[in-house]
Amino acid sequence: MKKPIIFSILFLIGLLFLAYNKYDTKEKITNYFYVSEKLGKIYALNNNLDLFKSNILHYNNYDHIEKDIKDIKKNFSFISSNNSIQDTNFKITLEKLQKDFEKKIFIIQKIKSYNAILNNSFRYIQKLKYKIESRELIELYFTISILDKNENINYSEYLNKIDTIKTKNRSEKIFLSHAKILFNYFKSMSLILEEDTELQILDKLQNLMDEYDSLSHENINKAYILVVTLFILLILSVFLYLYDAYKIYTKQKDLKKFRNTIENSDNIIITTDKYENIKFVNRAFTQNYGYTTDEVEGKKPSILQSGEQDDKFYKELHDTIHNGKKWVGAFINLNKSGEKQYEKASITPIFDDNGDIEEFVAIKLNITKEIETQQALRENEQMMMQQSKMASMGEMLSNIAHQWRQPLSIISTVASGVKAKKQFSTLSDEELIKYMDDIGNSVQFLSKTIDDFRDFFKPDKQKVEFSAISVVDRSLKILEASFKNNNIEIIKKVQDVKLIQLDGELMQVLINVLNNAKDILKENEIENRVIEIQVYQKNNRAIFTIHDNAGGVPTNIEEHIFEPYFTTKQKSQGTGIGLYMSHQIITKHMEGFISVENTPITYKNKEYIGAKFILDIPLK
Amino acid sequence: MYRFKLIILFSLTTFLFSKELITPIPLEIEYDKEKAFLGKKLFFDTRLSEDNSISCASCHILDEGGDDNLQFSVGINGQIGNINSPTVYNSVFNIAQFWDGRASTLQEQAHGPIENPIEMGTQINKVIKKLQKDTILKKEFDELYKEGISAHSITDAIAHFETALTTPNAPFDKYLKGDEKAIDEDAKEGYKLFVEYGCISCHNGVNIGGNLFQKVGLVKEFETTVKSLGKYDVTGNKFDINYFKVPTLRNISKTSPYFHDGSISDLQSAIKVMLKIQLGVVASSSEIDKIAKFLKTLDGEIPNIIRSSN
Repeated sequence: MKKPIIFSILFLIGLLFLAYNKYDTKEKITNYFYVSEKLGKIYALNNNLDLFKSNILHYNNYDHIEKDIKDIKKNFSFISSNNSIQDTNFKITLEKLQKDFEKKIFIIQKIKSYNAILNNSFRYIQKLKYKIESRELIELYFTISILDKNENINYSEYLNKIDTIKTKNRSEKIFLSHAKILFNYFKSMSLILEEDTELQILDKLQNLMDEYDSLSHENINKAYILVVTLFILLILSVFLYLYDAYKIYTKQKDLKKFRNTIENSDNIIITTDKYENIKFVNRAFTQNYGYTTDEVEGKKPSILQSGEQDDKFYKELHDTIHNGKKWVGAFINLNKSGEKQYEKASITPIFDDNGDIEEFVAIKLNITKEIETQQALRENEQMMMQQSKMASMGEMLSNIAHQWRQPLSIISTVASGVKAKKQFSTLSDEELIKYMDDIGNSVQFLSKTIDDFRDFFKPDKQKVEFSAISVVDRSLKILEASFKNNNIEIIKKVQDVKLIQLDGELMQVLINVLNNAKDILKENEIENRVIEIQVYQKNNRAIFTIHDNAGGVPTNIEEHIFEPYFTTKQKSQGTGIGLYMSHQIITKHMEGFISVENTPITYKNKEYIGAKFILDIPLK
Repeated sequence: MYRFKLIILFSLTTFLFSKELITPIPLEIEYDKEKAFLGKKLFFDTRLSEDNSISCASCHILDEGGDDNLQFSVGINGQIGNINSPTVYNSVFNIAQFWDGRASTLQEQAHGPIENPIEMGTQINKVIKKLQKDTILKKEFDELYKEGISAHSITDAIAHFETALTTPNAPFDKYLKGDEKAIDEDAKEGYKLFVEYGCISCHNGVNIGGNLFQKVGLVKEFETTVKSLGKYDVTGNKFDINYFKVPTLRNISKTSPYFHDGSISDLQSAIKVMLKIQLGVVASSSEIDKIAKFLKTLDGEIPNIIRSSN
């Protein structure tokens, strides 16, 4: 904002300066013409006076001469009262000339008086010439008749001559007296004209005019240059202003684009002043909350609070943003109709040029749907977990059945053997004790089996300390019977790695993977069936690998096997959630990785391809 | 110089082509009417003299050609002046005032008689004090002049009045404007003689005189008892000895006696003397009569301001 104001002020100053100078220049020019005109008039009037000087043998109306004299004085006073002339030299010259003119006027007054006398005598002599007879006088007359044209006449000589002429003719006497007047006054006239010539008024006047001309031109030129310079500067400043305006325009265009983006963003955007009064909300806001812009403008964003977040939460938020830091977090807010919504939000303070907080910008995203979806997913997962447990249970039951078959048949055989021996009375006490021990052992086995299964189904999800050997053994124990039935050999390469982890859940995964291996070995009718279990520690992680020789996972399904409800088994056998749950348990509950690769395995000197499941679990 | 030359061309010049030696008095003349009326009151106000006996009008009788028809005017206490009172009429056209031209303006002139001991014989400050007591007059002054009654305002008002004292529409003026019948044949012939004998050399312009200082006694000495040496008394310049302001010939029939010494009382004699001593001309009495007849056609109308009152 500052730049345009500075430009405008500069421009205005320039304009005023220009206007002043234009006015000043105009005045200077006006003054120039004014003074020039007056000088010109003086020049012309002076010419009039000079013309009169050469008209001495004529009648004259002295009113005109007096008027010219008056005008000359008037014009001089006009010039000297015009304050545009600053040059002292010029003023001095002007004053001198004015004084010379006073002298000239005095001379003109004399000439007036001489003119009257000379004119009269000259005319009277013209009349008298017809009445004169003397040759001397006639000669004198001729001299007189060219007297005004002849400047080199010795007047005194003629005057002396006239004094010597004696006549008794009355007209000749009058003629002589007038001739005397003429010579006398021509003599005076020539003296006074000389005086006038010495004044050199015309030269001085011309010099003065030239001086004024050059003086004025200098001034006018100066003013002209100033005006032109100012004009150029003004044009330049206009261009600068336009350039700046263009820059601002493009910026504004960008800004408008930006604003449009903000306006139409899916993110809720709120700006407030530093007191957290809402200044702006975008369309996403109004759509989200159902409030109109007018309803929220000037209000605080706290009107949106649901009350589910405590004062501590908000205090922390305010402390953060008022300290000039960005706050990132989540809100639980209410829209206008009172519906709860979850928001991911960031609030950023905006600073002014002085580094003080000017406003806050909050950018929020309504994540209610995502939260809800997550919740649904979580519920779904729990359900699947349940399902998987149920499925496991089914398998477990069949495993239990396998486990129990032998001890139950032992019990049954022993019981029927005891019964038969008793009937045949061949039952010795030693035999009976041995049989009872057998039954007792079998029952103990049964009971232990139950204990094993109960451990597996223990619902606790507490991390406990256990060893890798124990978890592998316990898992294998559950599957022992079933593996024996299916002629599967287990090769254990288990190191004694200590973990603090979810024991039961890891067992569930191991059983799951082992079960799958068993199923696939069975399904693919592999002759010499083997499963190699390895456990070792790598950095802070425990690596479990379960490698079978069933031919590997077909490449076309490799990437799908951890997806839920994906199964290759027949309907009766698989739910399709076993590996999905395993994946979930390892990655989500234990923050580990589960992967599968097809790698070769050598068993009984024969090389097979088999699926190798790798569980990568942190020790803690 | 180029611009100057243009300007010069334009103002070249009334002089060359003006052959009109006598011009009629303009019918209208510019002056401040209110100040002129105030001036008129002062003109007739005897308080301008020391003993309240004399006003301007005492020596410049406006019904009698603007002078007093005496050889010398009478001042306060019956003192007799030393020079003939010139007419106040048309004095605005004069190059200067008084016979010797010692006042260059009417206002300057108005001051003179007030403080002249043998005329009004007072001081302007005394006059101001007297006039201040006249509340009506004071009010009039205050309305027209910021400074109220002062030496300047008194003389300025009188000068305005005197500016108004022009006598237009003389028969000869009408003749000049083309009315051939305005003057008779004798007067026309008189005018011709007036020009031919060269009277017009000195008596020319609108006031037929008044625009030139000329030596009296050019051809023959002017014999007089009056001591004044004319302009010399003002300038002290030898050249100016016996140079007097050429008097106006307007209303000449009403302003006898003539000359600065008031020595001649009839017009014909005055013409004769002038022809003799100034022009060295001898003219017949019939010619002089004709010139006199011409001069009588120079009587103009009494200006309106004298008849009207405010």
